[in-house]
This record gives sequence, structure tokens and C-alpha cells, in this order.
Amino acid sequence: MTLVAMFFLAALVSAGALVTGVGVVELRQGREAIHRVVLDGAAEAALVRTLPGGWLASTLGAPSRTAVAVPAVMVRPRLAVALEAEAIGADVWLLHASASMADQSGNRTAAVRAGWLVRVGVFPPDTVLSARVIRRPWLPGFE
Amino acid sequence: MTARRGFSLIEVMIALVAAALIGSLAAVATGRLQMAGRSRAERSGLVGSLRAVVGVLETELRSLGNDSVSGADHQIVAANSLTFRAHRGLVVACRVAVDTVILALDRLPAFRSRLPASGRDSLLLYIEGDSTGTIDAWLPLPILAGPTAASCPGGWPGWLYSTRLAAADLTRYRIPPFGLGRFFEFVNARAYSSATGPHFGVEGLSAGAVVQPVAGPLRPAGGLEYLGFDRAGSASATPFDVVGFDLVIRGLTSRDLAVGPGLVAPVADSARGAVRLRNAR
Repeated sequence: MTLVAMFFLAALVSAGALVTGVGVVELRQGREAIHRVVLDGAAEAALVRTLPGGWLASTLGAPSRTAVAVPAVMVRPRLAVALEAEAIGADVWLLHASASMADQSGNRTAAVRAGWLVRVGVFPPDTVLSARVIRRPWLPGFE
Repeated sequence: MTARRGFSLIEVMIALVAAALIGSLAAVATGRLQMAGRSRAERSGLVGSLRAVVGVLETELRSLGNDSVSGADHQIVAANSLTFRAHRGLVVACRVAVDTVILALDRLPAFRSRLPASGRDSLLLYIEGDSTGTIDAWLPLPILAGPTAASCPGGWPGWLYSTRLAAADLTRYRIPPFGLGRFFEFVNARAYSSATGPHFGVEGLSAGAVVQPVAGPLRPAGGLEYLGFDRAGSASATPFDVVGFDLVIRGLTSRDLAVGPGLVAPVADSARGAVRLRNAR
């Protein structure tokens, strides 16, 4: 009887371990997917907000490969978006955002990079410098 | 009184029968547990692989777009087959001639997965619009050979590739010095038949490419569906109108699982996703 009881106990424990393992993996996959969606949204929102920003003034006469740091955005604690603008051509700039999430210890747990291609200039009838997204503006980052 | 030692035959027989009974019960219970574990693992594996397919497609498709010169990046070949320009990265073209293009060694490696490969990849070269910035497009160019080391005007290091550009296009379009290029490869993501049933795979459309299996087996009917939708959210198969795709993938477990008392069969599951094409207007 002891043997049978031990057998059933072992079976219960292994079944429990299996279910817990599968659950943990699925929870982690689900959480990573949600983090990616959140980071994607944060990066894109930061790019949209950057479009009419103060960085535009520093683009005047900037040679190709000039990089301009744009103030970073802290969306909420442990979710930050770093921004930069880089001159690619005479008036074409790449705005890029790197959104990252960190755990309570400050270790990065997920990151997403995205870019937008914009043209900077004075576009009539406007009389002030502005940035406009070009056709096919969006770029995914490869890490 | 004689001391009794050992066991009688009856006692041994009872012990053997009891051991056999317990053993057979244990074997049956072990078998059931193993089957339940295998079943759970198979189902979990199926769901995981279906989700992975949706993830792969979402990642690949969201870069697609369209413009007036290069057209739309995608073409629905059949309900379960989609051909598209798979974006592989951004480059900066520092010199463009009718038969060569030099790509500058830029500081943008985070925005490409690798260097362009001749014969496999093609370019989309940015054409500047007018002063309103509203008429802009991308010009498709083949990459025929390369790369070889070269220098950009101004001395920047770069890579030279052979291409084929119509001379008329050089004068018709405003291709800026230090212009933008996206490079891509044509791929077909579809359900294909294999010895173990329909599977999902991605096939490069350059010479010599083969189908790369991604997941399967799929359900024989309706295993993969691409449903394009337009700006209004209505179903559309017109490439230029499509701004997103609804994706449905239906798979089967690769082994037969218990589906009822004494019944075994592959178990079906499905995953769905929706992707908005970020570069479609």
C-alpha cells in the first residue's frame, strides 16, 4: 500500500510540475508579447510627438551624418524612450526611438527600436521649418 | 510444538497476485499520465508554433507599403499564399549611375539585418518629391553583383553594387546624392504540401531558393488565410488599397491524441492576428 501511495504521490507531483512548467512558459510568452506591443506603441507615440519638436532648429545647415539628441521620454517608471535624429541626406532625417522596459532591479527586460524617415524644410504655404514624414517612412530596428 | 518457518504456497501466491495487480494498476496509471502529459505538451507545442507563425508574419508584413512608382509591396497569390517585398534594411546611396550604385558605410546598422546580397535582394531608391514634400516615391532597382569596396564622393568608404537603371529615370526623377535606399527580398509565405501534410513555409523568390519550413502540419482545408482590408476596414484584395491583413492559421498536432474513449486523432487549434502595414497610405 505504501508503494502504491508513493507512486500516486509521485504521479501527482510530476503532473503538477508539468502543468506549472507549461503555465510559466505560457505566462512568460504572453508577458513578452504584451511588452512588445507596449514598447511598439511607446516608440511610435514618441516619434509622433517628436515631429514638431525643438530639435528642428539644430538641423539647419547640418551636414550629412549629423546626429541630434532629442530629449528622452519617461513614459512611466521603468519604461523609457530614447530619441535621436540623424541627418541622412541634404534634408532627409531619420528619427529613431528606442523604447525599453526594465525590471525592479533596473535590468532591461525588453527593448524595441523603430525609425521614421522625415524631410525637414519650409514647405509652402508654411513659412516655418517643419518635418514631414516621407512616403514609406517607417523602419523596424534589427537588434 | 514445531516452529513454522517461511511462507506457505498460498501466501506466496496471494502476494504474487497482489503485486501483479498493483503493478498492472500502476502501469495503466503511468500510461495515462504519460499520455496526458504528451497530449498537453503536443497541444502546447501546437499553440506555440501557431503563435510563432503569426508573430513571424506580423514582423514581416508590418514594414510593407506602397507608392506611385514601385506600387504595392505585396500581392495575394491565393487565400493561403502571399508574395511580398520582405524589408531587410536601410542603406544610404552616395552615388547612383545607370549601371552602378555605391552604398555608404553609414552608422545605421541597427536598421538592417545584414548587407544587401546580389541576386537575392533588390533596392528601393528614394525619389525626392516637389517642394511641398507631398510627391515622393521609391524607385525599384535590381542588385546584380557586388559588393566590392569603393569610395563615396567625399572619401567616405562604401560598397559598390552593379545595377540596371534606365537612363531616362535618371533624368525623370530627382535622385538625391546621399539618398535613401531600402533593400528587400521577394518572398512567398504560403501553405505548401509535404509528405506529412500541408505546412507553412517561407520561400525566397530568387534563383535557387527553397521553401524554409516554419510550422505544421496545417489543417488540410483553410490552414492559412490572408484577408486584406482597406482603410475603411472592408475586405480588399486590391494591393494598393490594402492597409492591413487579418491572419488566420489552423494547425494540427503532429501525433494522434486521445479525443474520446478509445478514440485517437490529431487535435486542431488555431491562432489569429491582425497587422497594419505601417508604410501603406
